[in-house]
Amino acid sequence: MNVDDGRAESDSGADIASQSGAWITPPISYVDPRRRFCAFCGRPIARRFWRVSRGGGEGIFCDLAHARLDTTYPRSTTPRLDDLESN
Amino acid sequence: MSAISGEQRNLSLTGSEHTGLDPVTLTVIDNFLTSTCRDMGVTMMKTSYSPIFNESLDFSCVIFDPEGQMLAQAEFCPSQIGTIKFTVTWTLDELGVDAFAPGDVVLHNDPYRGSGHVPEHMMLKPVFHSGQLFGFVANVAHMSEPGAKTPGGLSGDATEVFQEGLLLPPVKIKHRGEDNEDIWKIILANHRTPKVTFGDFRAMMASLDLAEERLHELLDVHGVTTIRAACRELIEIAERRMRAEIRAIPNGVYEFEDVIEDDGISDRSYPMRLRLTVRDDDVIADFTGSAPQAVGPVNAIYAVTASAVYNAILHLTDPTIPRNEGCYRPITVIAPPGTIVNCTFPAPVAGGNTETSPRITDMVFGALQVAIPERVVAACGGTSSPFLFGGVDPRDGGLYAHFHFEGVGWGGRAGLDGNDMVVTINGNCRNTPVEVFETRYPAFLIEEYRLLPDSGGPGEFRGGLGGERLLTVTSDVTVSALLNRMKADPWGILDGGNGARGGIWVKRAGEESWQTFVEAFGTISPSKFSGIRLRPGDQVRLAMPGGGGYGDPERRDRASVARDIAEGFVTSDRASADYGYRG
Ligand SMILES: [Zn+2]
Repeated sequence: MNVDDGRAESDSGADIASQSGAWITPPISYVDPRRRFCAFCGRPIARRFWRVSRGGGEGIFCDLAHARLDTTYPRSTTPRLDDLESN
Repeated sequence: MSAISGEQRNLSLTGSEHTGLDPVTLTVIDNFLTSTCRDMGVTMMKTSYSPIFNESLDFSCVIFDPEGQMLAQAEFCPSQIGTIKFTVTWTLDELGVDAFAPGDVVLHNDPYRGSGHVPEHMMLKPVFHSGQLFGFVANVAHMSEPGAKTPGGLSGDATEVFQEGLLLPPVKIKHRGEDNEDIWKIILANHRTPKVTFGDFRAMMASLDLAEERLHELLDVHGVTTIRAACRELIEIAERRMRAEIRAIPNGVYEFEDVIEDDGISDRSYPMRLRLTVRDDDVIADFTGSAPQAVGPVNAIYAVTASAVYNAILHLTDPTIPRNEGCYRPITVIAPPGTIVNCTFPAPVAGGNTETSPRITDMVFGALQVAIPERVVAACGGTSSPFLFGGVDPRDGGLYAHFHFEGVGWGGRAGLDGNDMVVTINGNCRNTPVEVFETRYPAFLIEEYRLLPDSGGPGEFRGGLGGERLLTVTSDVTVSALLNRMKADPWGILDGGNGARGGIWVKRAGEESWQTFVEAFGTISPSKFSGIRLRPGDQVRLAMPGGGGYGDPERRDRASVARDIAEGFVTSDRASADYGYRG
């Protein structure tokens, strides 16, 4: 696994400075079709992702902007519509 | 089709700090890139084999920079234009940009690598100039036969993506200008109509070659450095102008819900929930709370959901903004994995791109009806009406297959009635003319093709009309369908009424009555099924939904109601009941 060390790259993400992270570029697997998903937007990640450690855990993101948004966007807490229907 | 008659844009620039290029030159470069994409499409239209290319124009053409940023596009299929961003960036990430050499062409159709659905094949070609990689030209097109479990793909009762056709990760079908024969052999052995695939793939390659040639012309004049700088500037302009458009929408959280009525496997419905946040110059479309992914083929992959949101926002904003990466930067889409708006492998996905996609676009309009009532539109018929068929052609013994889609009514909008029988909002495609349909395929005689009175939702601005096609089977044929809006109405907005639902029925040879496919063949869904064999003399009736109405019907101009009656768009009875018309 290739790890591009450390801090957010220079192109964006000044707010990210408070989170330590790294760009990770795992090898491509053609025998494991499972995907990683951005913890903020849900986008499947082709290969390279931004990994941050915070609060004892870690999250992976498709880009730095989403790592930042993940800390500020008020998440919906509403249940899934089908759950409502089945109750 | 706007792709053929696209207008030139004037960027209204005030000058360039970055490139030293004057506004006129920047505008010329932007229009050159866009017209190159348009010409790519014309090349495919003129040189392809299948009607889904040369009649329906179910393809798109785009130019990218080496990082996968979109530089230009033409006005072809919106759902493809959005998804190709993901297909191309996935390809570059998976293969690495260093893997490309002059003359390479990469082919890719895997939905779990960003392709809209299996029939849509993307081709990508690098453009090198003076020894440097300038960028990529790309197209994506819907192949009429992808090697699915039933002819034409889009099997309405598929339960895995493997049943939807041959999956291709990014592979080089051309390497340094030479065909990769092994890739060709695998594909042609897996498609029912290899000759058509061969011709359509060649058309896509010709389109890429043309674009490469055009880019060389541009780069010869200005040089790589200047054009790169111009492209960066055009992206910044697009982003700036898009952000200004979004800033004009009142800040707020806007919500909307809709439903996919069934998935071909069971009779349960799949609700979708949208929470759209407009915050200054950003938009976040959050689909958290939507149903888990379906067993059947109505799932959208993330790229399809994002593309449908982009489509809506582009409809709501200034159409003269350059159509490049900058348009998309202010838009964020949240779609939880494992849901109907971001399904996970190996769920089937065919209808996500044809059915769920227009539903998502409409949901954005529905959510914003209070914020910007003057710009939104009521629901369109919301189905691409995929009707697939194939078999053995008795004229020559060869196999044939076709993906047929129909128009629907579009929703009413401020000041205008909805369009009648136009292919749904995610497709921007054309139908297949009756003459072509009957000439190319031996399966059907078209007995009737007409607009359906009263199918447009009543409103101050009426929904567009759906239509009806009546087909008589002329030789043994296998049919499949993947339709929607047969149980859930196309909704009106701002007190407008709902449009009419659609349907599909069959009348077996020698019988008198029309039946649903559930009644005649025991399918689970009346609108989503595959592999039904019909015999000569059987008949199929396809009804396409109308669009929703906009505004209170009582406010409709009386002269317009009278004209609707005279034109046969609205019956007198409905004019009285829906519009209070006493003329
Ligand atoms: Zn993300």
